[in-house]
Amino acid sequence: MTDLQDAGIIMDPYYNNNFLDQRHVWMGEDRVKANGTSCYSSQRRRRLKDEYMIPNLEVRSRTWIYETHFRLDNQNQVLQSVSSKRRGAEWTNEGAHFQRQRNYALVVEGIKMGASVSINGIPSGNVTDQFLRYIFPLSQSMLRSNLTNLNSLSIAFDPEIDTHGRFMACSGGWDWAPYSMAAEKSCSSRRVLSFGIFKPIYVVEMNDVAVVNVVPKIRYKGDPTIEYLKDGKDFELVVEVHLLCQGGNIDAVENSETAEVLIRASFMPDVVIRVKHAHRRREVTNSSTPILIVSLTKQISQDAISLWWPHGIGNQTLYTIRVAYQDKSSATLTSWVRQKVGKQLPCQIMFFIRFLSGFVLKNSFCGQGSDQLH
Amino acid sequence: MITHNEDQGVPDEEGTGVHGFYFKINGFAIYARGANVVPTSQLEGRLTDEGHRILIDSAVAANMNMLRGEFKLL
Repeated sequence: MTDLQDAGIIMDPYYNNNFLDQRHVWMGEDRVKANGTSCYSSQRRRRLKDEYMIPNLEVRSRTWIYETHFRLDNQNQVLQSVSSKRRGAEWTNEGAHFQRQRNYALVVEGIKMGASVSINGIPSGNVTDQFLRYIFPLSQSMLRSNLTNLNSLSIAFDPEIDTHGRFMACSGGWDWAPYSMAAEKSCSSRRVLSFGIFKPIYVVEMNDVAVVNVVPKIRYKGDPTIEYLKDGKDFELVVEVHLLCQGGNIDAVENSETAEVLIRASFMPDVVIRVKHAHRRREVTNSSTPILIVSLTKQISQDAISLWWPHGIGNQTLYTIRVAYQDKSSATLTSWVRQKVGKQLPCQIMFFIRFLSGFVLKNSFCGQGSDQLH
Repeated sequence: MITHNEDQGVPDEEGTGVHGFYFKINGFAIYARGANVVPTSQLEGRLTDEGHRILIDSAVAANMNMLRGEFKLL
């Protein structure tokens, strides 16, 4: 709806009754039912006349399609967007430094949700979870290699796509929003009220192996529940590096004598791990290509890093860890992937909060725009 | 290291008898001053990066040290 408003197709859905008056635009006119279905806001049912009932999301008949074109410029490896209807999306090239053979992948950082992704009309896959990053390998046969080198990307929000993933928990359910009844049995799948592209989508140039995720943690080796932590005490760095192997050649990577993961951080000397000798496991992902996860545990020397403290108590010290994959036998080196980590990263390590105490002063921020929907 | 602490007072029929719930960060008990952040809009993406920045900066300016996200901060 935000994109429709930006395009001038609908007016501000938060103003007055615009949300309801314009519903035929985004829902589709043909099959809108005014009432009699189960997926209504109970409060609205009481307050509003029939003509302002919110239609059941299951009857959305309109499929919205985002389309754009892009070129893969082999000369300078710059991806150029020809036209994009996306608001705020940046088409960027984050390609690897070099490789023998050009492989590309489309990275979808965030789409909400129930959309099919096609390149040049060839379906790549469906996005069914708002919070997952999807990586679609682009084979050479999918890409256009003629003189124009012009490729099309289309993302279709077809209401028929079955979604079972998670999404932001504000799609109704409270008194201030239309209710999508996502969890109701009467709805066959999780149809969300709002949908669209909310994070960047880009094409990367990748080697046979790519670093797709880095999960760093810094752990205290003692018992944090009974000891005061001070700078200089004993800590260890635990890093998980997620490797995506194109063509499913995980076995080759695991058995290679030369496949290595490089880790670089300011608080320790560079670390080189040979994949063959490292602790590792496989994980099946949404893209059906297994991910190889290589783990490293490394002692951190005393006084090398400082503690992270909340605002008002101390400094919020964070450190950058850089990770790359290399295979000397094939002259492969991926881009460096950066990730920040704190000596105590509050949201990732040992978050033991089970109950809020009376000491927590709580306020609530409420969105101004949401109030208009009352 | 953030931990939730539960003092082990002598339990009686009404509970432990101590005000024993608080946060410990790096082993030190802290006074948590914070807010609950609910979605700023039901339609994601309407709050700009600058809007998010102002929200967080305002919390910092109010001497808060904790925000509880009722959703992923998008």
